[in-house]
Amino acid sequence: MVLEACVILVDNSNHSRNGDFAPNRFLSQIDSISFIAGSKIQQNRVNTVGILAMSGRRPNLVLAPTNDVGQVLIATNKIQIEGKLDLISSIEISQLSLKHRSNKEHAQRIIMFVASPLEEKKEDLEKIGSQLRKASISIDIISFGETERNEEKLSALIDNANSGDNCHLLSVPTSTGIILADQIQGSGIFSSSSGGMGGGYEGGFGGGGYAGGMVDPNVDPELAMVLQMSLEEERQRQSRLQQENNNNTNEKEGNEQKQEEKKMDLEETEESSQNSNKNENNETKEEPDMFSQLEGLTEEEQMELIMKMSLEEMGNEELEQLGIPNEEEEETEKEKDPEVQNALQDEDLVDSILLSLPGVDPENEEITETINNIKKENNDEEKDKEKKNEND
Amino acid sequence: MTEFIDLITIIDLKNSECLNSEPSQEITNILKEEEDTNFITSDTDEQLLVNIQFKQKVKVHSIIVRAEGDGTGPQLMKVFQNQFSFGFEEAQSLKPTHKFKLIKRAITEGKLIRFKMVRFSNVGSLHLFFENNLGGGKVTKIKQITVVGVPLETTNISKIQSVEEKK
Repeated sequence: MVLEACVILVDNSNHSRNGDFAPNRFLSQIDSISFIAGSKIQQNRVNTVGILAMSGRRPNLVLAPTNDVGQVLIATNKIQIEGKLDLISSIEISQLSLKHRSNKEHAQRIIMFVASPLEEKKEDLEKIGSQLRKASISIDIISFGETERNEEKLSALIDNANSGDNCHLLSVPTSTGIILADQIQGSGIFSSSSGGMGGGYEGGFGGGGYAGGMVDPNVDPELAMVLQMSLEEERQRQSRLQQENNNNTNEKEGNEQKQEEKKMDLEETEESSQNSNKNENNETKEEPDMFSQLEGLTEEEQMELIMKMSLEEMGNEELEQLGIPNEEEEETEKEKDPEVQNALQDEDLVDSILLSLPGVDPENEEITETINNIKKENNDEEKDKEKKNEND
Repeated sequence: MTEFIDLITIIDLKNSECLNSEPSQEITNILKEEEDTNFITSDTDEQLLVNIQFKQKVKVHSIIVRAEGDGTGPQLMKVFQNQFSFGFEEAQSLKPTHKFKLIKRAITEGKLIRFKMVRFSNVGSLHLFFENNLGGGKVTKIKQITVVGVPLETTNISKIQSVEEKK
């Protein structure tokens, strides 16, 4: 999770009217900008993004660096296509803007789109590359539309600006059906700086920048520890769960209970888990060890699985809070539902269900008594019904 | 007169920086209490810009710059104060408060380089621009920078007593 202040340089020269990148070069840039800004701010809420339009009477800083994605989108709408690209001045102005950034701890970065043939000399570009390196500003260039002509000059710029591989040149060749934003997303230059979190539209899961536990020990040792603990707990659940799956034959009753318990349990697990990230991590599919099972199931079934696992974790005490109402619900439902009553008669089935309920010992005297009582009641009810039928 | 001290404890290291240094090096290589083997090397060219931020206003008496005697030590040092967002462009164009031409003996032996304290009586940030080095080569190296002075009078909260306690 790198703290970054970014300025995106847009090529709004007349060369961007070209339609070789659908719908035209300018609009494909705007598209990409929304992706880039979104992913930067997703990586870290304090990251700032600004926008500068390079062409026109003079380069125009449309938006000073801000961490509000909405403002970025609004600003892109204000840009007009006009004039010719003025690369050197644009870079200098963005340098100034970054220098006066509000938080000095932010690393400085420029992201530049180039879609017009460059008229600047190679030496001038090399000079400004060194200038950027001296001011510790890293630069990423996305060259498209005029890639062959600009390749040499832009590589010279990048070479001079590069210190430790923080600058990149992405050349997107023209061919049919290419969408610029997809190319940028796929290239991974915007994930490389964040330690493995590519395409960051995951809705804040995993705390942004978390990549399977590898980043954490360096950034946040406490978080790493807690995540490790929850990982181990999950593994234990998994092994228990697999045993359960072998025993448990009837899912319907389990489902009825669980849907009602779902909401209550969700709250409990979230409270009892030491880290809210754990649950979010459960839902991301970035951890192949734990969730190879989950991948094949629908969301509902995933929820049920997770519910089962959380149920197993709860001790007797917690189960009592939920357990007592559950048993009541069980009984009332069973009374009403004839299918259930019939199922109850089957001792094997009952035993297996009891096994799946944590904290319940099937050989417990009380439980066997209650079951026998229920059976008696059912038998009595049946006899009563038969009598009534006969009478009628 | 009040004693002058090494202002290292008053330096705000988080907001201090060195421009054009090698990327892996940190400002604490040169702003530190004791002399050790760490140093700062210049990167793109031979110029170095050190921005020192203080936690409170100080008076600067003098400065010590330590470097090697092999020609990588800095020669021309321009001193600026209380600048905001100070970069190489400003360093080249603005007029410095002080200009020093360092000699080899001064940097190898760590001699005090005296400032005119009247001009440095209210310093919040100090900016040192090392424009070239003694040997004329492409790389400048600095081992340690020590700023000597005294912090300005501020309210010492621990000494505030309520009137009743005195009785």
